[in-house]
Amino acid sequence: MRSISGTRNRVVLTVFGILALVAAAWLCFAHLGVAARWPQAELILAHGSSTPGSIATGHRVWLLPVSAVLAVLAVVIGIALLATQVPAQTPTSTLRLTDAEGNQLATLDPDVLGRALGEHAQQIPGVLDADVRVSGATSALWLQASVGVSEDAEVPWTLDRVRQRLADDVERALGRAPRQVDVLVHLRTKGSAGNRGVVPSAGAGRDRGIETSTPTAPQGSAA
Amino acid sequence: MTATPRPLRRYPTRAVAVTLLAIVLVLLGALGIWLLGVLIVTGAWPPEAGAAIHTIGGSRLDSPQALTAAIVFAVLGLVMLLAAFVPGTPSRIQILSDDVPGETVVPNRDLARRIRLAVEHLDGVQSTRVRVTSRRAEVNVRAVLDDAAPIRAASDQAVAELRPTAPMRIRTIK
Repeated sequence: MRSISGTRNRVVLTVFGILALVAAAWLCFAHLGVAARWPQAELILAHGSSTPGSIATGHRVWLLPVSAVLAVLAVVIGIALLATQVPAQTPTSTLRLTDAEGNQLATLDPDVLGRALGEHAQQIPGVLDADVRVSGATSALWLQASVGVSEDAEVPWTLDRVRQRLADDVERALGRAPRQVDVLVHLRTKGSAGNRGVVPSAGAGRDRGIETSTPTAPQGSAA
Repeated sequence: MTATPRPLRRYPTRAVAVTLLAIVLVLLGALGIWLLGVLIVTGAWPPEAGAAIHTIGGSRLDSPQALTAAIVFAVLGLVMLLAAFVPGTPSRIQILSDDVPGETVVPNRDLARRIRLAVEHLDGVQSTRVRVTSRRAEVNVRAVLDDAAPIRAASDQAVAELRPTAPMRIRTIK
């Protein structure tokens, strides 16, 4: 299933957030004249009377090449960040089937297994489409499925059947149950099999009236 | 890149914020390459940017313009740190736990549409607007009904059938 790394994005935002705050602090200290009151900090802080032109002239020897390098780095980092915002698949490796002694008997492309599992899951009544991604090792398979289910179907029953069928098919094919079966459900009307969901918005008119709050407690698992 | 799949129920990835940051970096970097490239080659700033550079270069650091720049940097920095540290609301809800290890999730908007369809089938309902988060569903209904009980019942049933793993409060407003 394609995704973007949220952790990496948040680390990037943290780094640049801190850099922006450091720049703001440096300008504030110059505005408040901290360098005049704290002479030891004159190496890194600027006086309020300074101008960017005077600072650049005083440090021209190293400031010009460093600025050029930073400009190039900014472009490279920006392009790299844009590239990482394209959702990517989790990499998979070929599945190796072995006997009891550990001798390799055969290899299996996980995409082939995923297609077979998806086609079998699609035969369940109520399932409009199913796309299964197989990852992990043969001894600990991880399935992630994106399943379109008709709104008119018995959704809980259909999803239970999908999950059970995926787990059973893997156990039958590879001799052991999968480590995990994750299912992303898209509830669709039959006429919109390619439609991933419509944002509902039909008229305004929120009158003051009856407001009730009904907590819905989680129920136990289905048989 | 890790080979472990990511959970289906995830917090927002902050892709929009990082995309904007990336675009700004590329634009600033390209501007810097152009300005510094011309300076290094010709020994002078580009004529098109000369006036602006002269103005910025001559501004004192204790001027109001510098303070404004500091405030802008501070605001941007705080916004980025907030985006990084505030988890946000997942766009999917976990439902239907069973004996098979793993999770089943449904997008918030699909659940909202399910509730809307269930309510709109009721006699007397003219229009419905539903907003769903991970813990709450807010159902705004325009109807000629005197009693909101059928609307509440339809909303509750539409959600309860999917058995969300976390308690979900449903608020109906007529």
